[in-house]
Amino acid sequence: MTWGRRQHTSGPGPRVLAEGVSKTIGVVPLLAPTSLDAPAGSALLIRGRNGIGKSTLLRILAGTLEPTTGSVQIDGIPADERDRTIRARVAALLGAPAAYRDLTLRDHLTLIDATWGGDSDTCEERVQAALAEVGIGELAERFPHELSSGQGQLFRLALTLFRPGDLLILDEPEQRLDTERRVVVARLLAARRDGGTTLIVATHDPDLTRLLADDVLDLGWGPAEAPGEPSGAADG
Amino acid sequence: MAEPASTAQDAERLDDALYVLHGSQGTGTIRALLYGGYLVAIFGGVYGFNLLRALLISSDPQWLRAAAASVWSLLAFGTLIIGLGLLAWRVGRVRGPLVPPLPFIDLLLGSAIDRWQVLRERAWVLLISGLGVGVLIGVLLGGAAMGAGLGSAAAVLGAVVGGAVLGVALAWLWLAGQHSLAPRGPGRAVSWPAMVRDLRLDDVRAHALRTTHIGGAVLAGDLRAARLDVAPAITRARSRRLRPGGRVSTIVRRDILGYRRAPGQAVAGVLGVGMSSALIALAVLQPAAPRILGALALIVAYLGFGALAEGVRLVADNAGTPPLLGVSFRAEAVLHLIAPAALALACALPIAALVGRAHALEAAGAPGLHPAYALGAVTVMVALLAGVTLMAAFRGTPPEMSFVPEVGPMTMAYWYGRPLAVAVSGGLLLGSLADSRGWAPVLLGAELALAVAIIAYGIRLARRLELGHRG
Repeated sequence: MTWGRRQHTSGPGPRVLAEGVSKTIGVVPLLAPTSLDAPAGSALLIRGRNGIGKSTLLRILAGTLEPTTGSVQIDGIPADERDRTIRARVAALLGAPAAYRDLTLRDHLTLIDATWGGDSDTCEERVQAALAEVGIGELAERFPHELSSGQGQLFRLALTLFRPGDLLILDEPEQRLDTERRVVVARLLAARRDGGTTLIVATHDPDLTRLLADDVLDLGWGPAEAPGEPSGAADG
Repeated sequence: MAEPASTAQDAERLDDALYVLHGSQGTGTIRALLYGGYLVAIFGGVYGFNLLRALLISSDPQWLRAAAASVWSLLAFGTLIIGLGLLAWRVGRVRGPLVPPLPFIDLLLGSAIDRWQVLRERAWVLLISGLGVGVLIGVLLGGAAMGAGLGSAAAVLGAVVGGAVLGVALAWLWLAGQHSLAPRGPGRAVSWPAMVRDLRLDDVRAHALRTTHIGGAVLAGDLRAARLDVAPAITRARSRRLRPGGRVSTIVRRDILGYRRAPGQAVAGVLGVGMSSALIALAVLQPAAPRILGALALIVAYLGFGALAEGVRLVADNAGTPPLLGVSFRAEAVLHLIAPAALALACALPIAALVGRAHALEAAGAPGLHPAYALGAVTVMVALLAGVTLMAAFRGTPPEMSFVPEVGPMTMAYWYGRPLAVAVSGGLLLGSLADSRGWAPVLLGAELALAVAIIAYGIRLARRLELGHRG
């Protein structure tokens, strides 16, 4: 059993290198062999048709899922969330984490901050700022069940962005957001990237791609090509 | 505008609609009621009567008579009746007794036919079921007491009448709970037809949807979905804040904040643990008390402690998701046990001490264990509860056999019931301390070691669940 320790990240985020990772459950292929290289402090966007394996790839990159073949290295360390170094570096939003029914949004962020050893004297201001950053500052005293689906997504983004980490892995962060909020989120993520965080984001949003992408990995569009660019700069 | 139909026209329209739904065979309600009654009577007669009689004849009759006539027993009986009444009312607010299938609600309950006419058959079933179950319980309790030589025929009659009244009252309270969801009209409805007519379509529909969700969740082994469907929305103490601090203190404070925001659940938990502490203390100190008291105590304690351990369950809910907190999965689970265990001990130890003192005054010079053993027993009980709570929270997904038609229900029941079975076995062991005489310190130590082993097993299950998602 390990008790987490706060990681003060400085300098650029990690380089993420995946070589031939695939996932098969029984005889069902979830992800075809895929390779990628996301340099430190860059933003790699992943696209592809539904069911091509974007979420599976992100889970493998975040170290929460074992690949059937291949390997992932985060700054030379195998991606495995059981390793506390990896846990401290990777902040990921892959689906909706379960929230406490009896904690307000503010309380959730306070809890996260305390478990990462945040300064309790400045906690309140930082929590308020983090909520305001994604546009839900006025909802600080609401409980999670009192949010709309879009507000819920912003809350989950706030949770993910608030915890320390220099590698952000996000699965369709734009889902359920209106156009205005998508732009806010895109700018926030761009600021993170500019601050040195490495970003790996699966998205279908053209605005997010335009504002954020240093590189795009197209996993494929299946037998029928989808509209738009079918192939990207990264290998896969 | 169409005029409201008369009662006769309503009945005719309803008959027509039911004929369309069920054909000439009718709704089958009477057949289902009779079959249900047959099953309850068979099981009650075969198992209930014999179990109760065995319980009574295995206890010291003199002690039982004295205990039954004491103020404490009357108080406990009164508390039990009030508790059952509150429970029936509360359950009615979550899932009322009059909840037809969704198409029936949309097509018939939403029609212009008098709502009492539409639901009358179900209301009668409720009334008759309450009456029948009450009578059966009265017959079983009275009959078992008479069979064990502890009561006369008059006592059986009294138990039957009392059981019948209680059964009908609980049925009415269940319906009253469902009715309480509707906004209050000008008059207060207390009669069955008036309450049924007051039911709102939306509420009945919500209950039907919830029933479907919960049924599906239970069959699929997804207890989280079932729990969230039943749990009331929390809105209390919104402006109260979680004070930041160290990792351990913040997680403990989180759980305490949870108790303040869901005080009903916390009070129910404390009452459950408190009541079971008194029972365990009695079972340990009083050799004449029935041995099954320990098992009963642990059933109540399991439910009570579970009400205090919301944090542990949430850790399990988050298994497999990317970590947000700066503590490991298992550490978080263990930290969430601190608040419930501390609260349970703070409640259990004084109660055990009080029971011990009362027993020492009452039974001075009589054989039995030193009152300090009651304190040891409730401490072991809390450790055991921590372990089985981990077992329950991190039980994961049901085994594949649960979905095999031939053995599925038994496997699923075993999967659900394992933590409770461990708790009940622990309760029986604790109760057996009363018979251990010179071996009591050894036995108590062994039970503590067992409880610690169960906690370790629970942590191992947490690890397994955490890793299971990596597959």
